[in-house]
Amino acid sequence: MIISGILSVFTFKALALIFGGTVVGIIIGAVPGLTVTMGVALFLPVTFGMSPIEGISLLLGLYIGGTAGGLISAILLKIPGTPASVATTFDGHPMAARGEAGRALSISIVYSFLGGMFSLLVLFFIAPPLASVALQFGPYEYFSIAVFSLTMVAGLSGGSLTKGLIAATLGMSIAFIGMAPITAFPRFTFGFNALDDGIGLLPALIGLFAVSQLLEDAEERNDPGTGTAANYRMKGLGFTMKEFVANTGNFLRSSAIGTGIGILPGLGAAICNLIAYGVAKNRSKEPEKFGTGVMDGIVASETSNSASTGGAMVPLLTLGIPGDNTTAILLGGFMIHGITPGPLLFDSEGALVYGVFTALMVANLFMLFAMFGGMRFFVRILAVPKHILLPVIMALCVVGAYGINNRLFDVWTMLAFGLIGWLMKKAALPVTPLLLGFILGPIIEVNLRRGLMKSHESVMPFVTEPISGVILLLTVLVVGYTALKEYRKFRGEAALAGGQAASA
Amino acid sequence: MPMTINRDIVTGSLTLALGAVIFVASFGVKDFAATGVGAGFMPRLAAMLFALLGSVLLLETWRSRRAVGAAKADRRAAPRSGGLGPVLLSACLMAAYVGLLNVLGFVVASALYVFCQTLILAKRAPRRYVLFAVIAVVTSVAAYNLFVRAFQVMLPTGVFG
Repeated sequence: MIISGILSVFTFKALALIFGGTVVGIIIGAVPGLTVTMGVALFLPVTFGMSPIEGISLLLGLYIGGTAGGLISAILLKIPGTPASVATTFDGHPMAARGEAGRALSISIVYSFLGGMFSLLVLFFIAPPLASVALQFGPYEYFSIAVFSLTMVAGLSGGSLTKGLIAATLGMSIAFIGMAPITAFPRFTFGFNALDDGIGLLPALIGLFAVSQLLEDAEERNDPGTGTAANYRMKGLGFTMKEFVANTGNFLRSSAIGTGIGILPGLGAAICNLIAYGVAKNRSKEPEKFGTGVMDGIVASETSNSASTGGAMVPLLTLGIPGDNTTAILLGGFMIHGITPGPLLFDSEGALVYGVFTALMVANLFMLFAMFGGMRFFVRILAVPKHILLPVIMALCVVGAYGINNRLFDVWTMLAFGLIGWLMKKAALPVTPLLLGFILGPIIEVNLRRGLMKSHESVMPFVTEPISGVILLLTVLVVGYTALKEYRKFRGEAALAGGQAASA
Repeated sequence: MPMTINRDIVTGSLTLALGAVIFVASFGVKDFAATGVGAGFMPRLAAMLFALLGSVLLLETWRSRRAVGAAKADRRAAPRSGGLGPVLLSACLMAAYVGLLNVLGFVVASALYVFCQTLILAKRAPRRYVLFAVIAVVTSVAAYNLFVRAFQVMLPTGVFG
């Protein structure tokens, strides 16, 4: 059964479909605003006439390619192609700006591959027990995980924790707009019906990164010039064996974070890259170097977002529960081909399950080859003067924002967030905490209220439920540690100021 | 240095103001019958956080103003700025682009936008009008065909569609 499943993928047509899907996925992922969800949805009808394994091979290729493709624009343009690659911009772009674009891309590609493979091994060996644990997660646990994730704001704030927290609260507040959870009354919509559905993550993301970047470049005295020297030549893979070994812990931790968050429905790649980055920074001996173009930051982000793909397949295949929009469409694709994911799938369609595993592995491998093959072309983007490149990217962003729901409102949202992003840079407020607050705020609110309804307005279960309690305890420890660190910094600065005032 | 301090005073004050606005507005949020934690709870919590954080930022700024000698200068605000003109112009141009998207259609609106935006960003670079125009037209037509024909994304066709 296992062998026949594996062999079912090794036909010319199935391999060609995976390769084609991966390449198209990479392109879709690289264009800001075009997401892997859109790619999978667009190609779903194309698969109708194919055999199940061929159709699913194409969709899985798109899924893997699309998740990885975001790293290209994140590194070369400082604009994440997908929400999953936000943290890749932090160190990937500074490294490219130093003239090491090839190295940055190479590290990202290799670790995307390794992260993807790690999560597939998890999927292969321990999917059913993991899925049953994930299924026990109720509102208390989700609330606690989201609150814990918010503590990452500290690591992603840059200079000032206060400003990071202001940005995170702003993100949460923006997420209030629209239907309130549970009651479904519109709030903070100011009478605009278009706001009833809330603010979309994607237009906000494109605005905050792409549009604000253009405005910032418009402000420069001179023309922005070209990005940097388009240097992609490097020895070997761009990193040494020593660097690879030094990142083993970081890799394993980021893979675990990515796979774990991928498994939990509703969180997904958009959060795990930020969390893995935050944790890597906290655990690093040289956290101050993060953000200047260090390998560790790229490893954390790219490993975790690729690892979330295998993680998201765990509940999809074992329970038939999709973790995010993309896997929801994949679920649709499976059902169209007569496959019903769920506990029985492994017994009734065992060969197909192993076919899916194999297709995912092959897609990861093709992603590796396609990205390395295309690298010399990607870096040419950097040779294009920015005053020509940025307007064209802006037009592509409009396509992305408009294409989400076919409405102009999302494009206006994108522009508004471009201005917000630019103003935040003026005020030295970091953008990433805003994104974290925006994504986590609704998860916190809806699960807090669900949990309270379940417990008849008692907060005790949030603390007494074992998993939730442990996560909240961890949260308290992290917050306490951060507060202590900040206090020491504050005391140190005060002493320094006192000393200087005395000597003046 | 004083610029950094003034900037933070503005940020802190705006944060306080935003907190006050959200707090007041949260009482207008409709909810079911009285429950402890309703749809207005998180907004009120956010409002209080804003108030707290705004105050902390103002306090920090006040302290660093007292110890001006130790305040860190913001090096990123180096005099590389070419003024706000091009920024405002770009923002207005983008707004016009989006506003005209449905009227002119994606291809025409994008070509016009890309051409004008390139001119704004070019600053002191040589202004090769013909090249810029060709790039604007070619990229818009190519993007339209790629997305509409190959990827089936819907884009406004406008009056020329």
